[in-house]
Order: sequence, then C-alpha cells, then structure tokens
Amino acid sequence: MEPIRRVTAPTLDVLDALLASDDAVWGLLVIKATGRQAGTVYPILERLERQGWIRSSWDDDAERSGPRRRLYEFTADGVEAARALLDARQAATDAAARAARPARPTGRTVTS
Amino acid sequence: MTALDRFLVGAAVAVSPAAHRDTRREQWLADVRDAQELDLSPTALAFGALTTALFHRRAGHRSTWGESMTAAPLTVRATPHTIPTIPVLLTLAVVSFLGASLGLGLLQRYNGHPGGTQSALLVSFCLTVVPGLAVGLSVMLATGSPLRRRTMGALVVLAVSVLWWAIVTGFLDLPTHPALALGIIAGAWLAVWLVVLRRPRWTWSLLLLPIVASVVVFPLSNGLYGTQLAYSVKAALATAVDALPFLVAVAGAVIAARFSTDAPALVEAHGEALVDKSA
Repeated sequence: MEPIRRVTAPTLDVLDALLASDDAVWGLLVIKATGRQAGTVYPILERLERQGWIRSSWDDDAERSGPRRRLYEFTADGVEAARALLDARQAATDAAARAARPARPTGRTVTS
Repeated sequence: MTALDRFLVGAAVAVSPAAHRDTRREQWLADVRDAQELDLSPTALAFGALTTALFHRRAGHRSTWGESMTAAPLTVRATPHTIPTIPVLLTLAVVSFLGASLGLGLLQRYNGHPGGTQSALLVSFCLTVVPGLAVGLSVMLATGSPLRRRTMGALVVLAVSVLWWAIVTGFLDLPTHPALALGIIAGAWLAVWLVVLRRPRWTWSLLLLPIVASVVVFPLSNGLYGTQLAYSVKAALATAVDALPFLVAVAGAVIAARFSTDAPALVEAHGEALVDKSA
C-alpha cells in the first residue's frame, strides 16, 4: 500500500464515509455522505484504490438489471491507515478548539 | 436519465484512458441512473464524471481539488476549495460571450435608448475582454510550466483580447478576410496554451481547427440575418454562433493534453487495481 502524499480534507471525508460501514459501500453513497462534488469524490476513490487503500467490486444484486453499481471497501492495511489519519484529524481539531477557548478566570483580584 | 446525462457520461467515457472505459461506463451509468434514489442530481453526477475523465488522468496529477494538508492535520480548512478552477473559468468565458450575444440583441431592440453607449461598451467587454481575462487566468493557473512562462502567456492572451475588442468595436480592421478573424483570435489563444505547456510540435496542427470552424461559422452567422426572425434575435443568434471557434479551440487544447506523447504516463496502469469480484 502506498502512503497518501497529499492528505486533503475531501480525502479524509471519503475515508470517514467508507469507515462508517463494515460492508462494501456504493460509490454514490460516499458522494452523498461527504456532501462533496462527484468530480471531487470519483478521483479520490480511484486514487485510493490505485494506492491500495481500498478495493472495488461490482454489486451482485441480480434483481437490479442494467449497469451494475461499483462498491468500495478498505483493504486490511487501508483501514488501519485511514483510522490513524482520522484520529490525527480529530486530535488536531480538539487541540485547535482548546487553543481557541478563552482562558479560565482564576478568581484572583487584579490590583494595580 | 436524460439525453444530456447520457451524452455527458458518453463524453466522459470517450476521453477516459482505454483501460478504464468499460469500468467507468458501467459505474457512472449506474450512478447516474440511481442518483435520484439518494436525492442527488443525475446531471451534476454526469458532469462530475466528465471532469474526472478530463482532469484526472496523469500520474502525479492532482487527484483532488481540495486543499493540501500534508503532515499537519491542523491545516485542514473548514471549507476547502473543491472547484476545478480552469473549467469554471472557461465556462465563465463562454457564459460571458453568450450573455454578451444576448445583450447585443437587446441593444438592437432598444436602439437609441439613453445609456446605449455605455451598454454597448459593457457588451463589447463581456464579448471580448472578459473571456480573454478568463483564458489568461487559466493560463496562469496551468500546472507544469514556470511562472515566468505562464505570466508571459497570460499577457499575450490579454493583448489578443484587447486586439479583438478593438476589432469588434471598429477601431481596428484585421488585414484578413472577415471569415478568418474569429479563428485567428481563438487560434492565438490556443497557440499560447500550447506554447506555455510545451506541447509537442504535432499539436500545432490543431490550430487549424478554430480557423476551419471560423470559416464554417461565418456564412452560418451571416445567413441568420437573411431569416424572418426579429432583428434583435438575429443579431443575438448570429453573435452566439461565433462562440463555436472558441469552443473548438478548447477542444483542441483538450486533445493536445489527451494525446500528447510526451505527457507523463497519460494512460495509467489503473485498470489492474480495479478488482472485479464477480469475474
């Protein structure tokens, strides 16, 4: 599995959407879950697959005729790496929130 | 699925690397067909498929339109920029041109109205300078070329736009047959693009495309004035069809990128990664 050279916010969103399910996820559901443009999500899915983070397969629902849906799921390495990236984002978000919070008043009287 | 959706997916598949076409066709047709189940727009999806096919083809090419985050997750912005900028700029150029065509038609209808001169000036800018600015900015944003080269290219594009504006407003006459004028302008912009991105020599033959389109459009544009339509409608339509040489020039730029033999790994070995469980 190749590391992602540029981890972008849309990439993290796609990873997050894929992690939300234990089963293979339809690509369109990833687009829906991330709320991002198809033109953003499709290339990310292809790149993640090319780099070995995820794999794809055709939906085998025999009741649905016509073109088949493409499903995506993590590889064993990919799921661990994705969790690590998302944990890092969460930690960074938490740290940023703490930094932005105003300092707690000490209750000590300030005298001049 | 509308005819437009089907056309967009067909175009997206057509410009995809051969190794990806079958997979992409089936995947995108299924997604567009079922988009409404998820309250998504089928046309937006089809357009996304087209931008994917057009702008995500090379190894090392930017794979997302989001902001780079690299190592520090703190740098993730809450609202990252995810719009493919150059296509949006070129769309803006076309919309400006078509809007100006409509404006030109309205000017015919309200000829003599107070403020007509200012309106005519605005229309002429939207017809020539605004598209030129959009194309110039696209040249500046092109990747794979030094800043100096891109800056020079953008300046040439702007100079050509000003020249075109002077022709449209009657300050200048090109010493050529009028049928060639649009083709020369569109060809000049395409030439700048090819030079800035150092396309191979054979792509210079693509400069003939806007010239040919211009020659074809000229009698069509003039012929519209012979129809029974209202004069304002005729003027608007005759100007709007003049966009064709510019659209052809854009197609030429895409072809140059798609088939340039010096482009790094234009067709990626991507199909191998697509695992088909059903096979």
